[in-house]
Amino acid sequence: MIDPEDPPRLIDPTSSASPRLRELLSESRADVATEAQLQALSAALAPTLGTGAVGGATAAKASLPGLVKVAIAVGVTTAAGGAYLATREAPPSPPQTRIAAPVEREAPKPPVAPAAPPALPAESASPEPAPAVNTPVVSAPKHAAAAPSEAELLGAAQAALGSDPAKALSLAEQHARAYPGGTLGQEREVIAVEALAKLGRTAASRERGERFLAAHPKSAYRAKIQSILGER
Amino acid sequence: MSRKRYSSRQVFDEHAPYVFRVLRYMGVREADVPDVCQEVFVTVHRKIDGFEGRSSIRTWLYKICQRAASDHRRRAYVRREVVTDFAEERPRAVESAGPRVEARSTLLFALGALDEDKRDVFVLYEIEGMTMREVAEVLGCPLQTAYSRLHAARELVEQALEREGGGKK
Repeated sequence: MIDPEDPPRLIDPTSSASPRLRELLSESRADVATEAQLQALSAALAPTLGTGAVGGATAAKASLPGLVKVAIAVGVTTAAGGAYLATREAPPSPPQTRIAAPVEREAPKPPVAPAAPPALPAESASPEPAPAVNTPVVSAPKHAAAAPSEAELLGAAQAALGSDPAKALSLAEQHARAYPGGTLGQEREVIAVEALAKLGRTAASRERGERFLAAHPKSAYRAKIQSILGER
Repeated sequence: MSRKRYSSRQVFDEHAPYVFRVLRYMGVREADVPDVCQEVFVTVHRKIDGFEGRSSIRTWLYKICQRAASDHRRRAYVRREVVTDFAEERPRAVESAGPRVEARSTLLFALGALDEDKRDVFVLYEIEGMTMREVAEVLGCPLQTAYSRLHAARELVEQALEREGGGKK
């Protein structure tokens, strides 16, 4: 990509860069993922993206992180119908994020900001409501004392949908407080709309579902929401 | 002229190495890059049908990476974790980890001297090889602003390297 009006790039010998910076930039351009990293990633994403040119054959061996599981479970790959309602099993592999079995039944308490370690900048805690870390919902193997991740919260919510929609809704709301701009916001809303419907709170389900459809007119979950609302 | 239609798998196969690098130089910790990369491609999968080809696929991907890295940073704060590879002092261990890893570490150290706006311009132009017009488009700023940021970023990076490296060549 060259635009004649652009200044010479620092990697270009005619630029003003120091030799050291030029060398670093040259190295950085070659600093892409290794084949092993790409294969592992490709395999982990295979249930979502399908198998492809990289690493498809190794899919069965790869671990499947929680986030991908949530996307699958909520139905991102099969959003056209109702079949996604059944939570799909993860591939036969040890997931990195394992949902712990017992989840507290009570509605999550209002977020309580945990005592911040002294080294933490004060503003880091303020823009977001802290997750309800005093309500341990799932285990977090990587970070034993950490708040549940988005995937962990919604994985637990998804798992609870069939048997305990109130709990699913509660976990979805916990996610909304902890991750208001989170990556899995759409997945959360799908779970919440479905949980409300299962609880017989039809008006609330419809209102939330319609809000979702208005906010995400091209969402892959459109058909799913419409199905829950009885529009398809 | 018909625009190319992509599947999310195609995007992955063609651009995953790029996404890896972008996330690294956005300051996502190396150990977390695969996880954040997955988030990026889950988002790609969700949104690919809405990609209208008005921008290049790399520009579109970069915006998704920006969002994912930003979310990751926020989650890291919530989890009280160390947030980024931008270190105040370079870890000594990387010096034995190979020239590419060392180069990355050194460059991340220097990029740590920049605020996010300047760093993005520097990474997109000098490492990712975008044109300045593309850079301005990705960052949603006027072209002239992008030029100013690039100029300032270059100076700051060189200064940081001088401070860090001393006589090292």
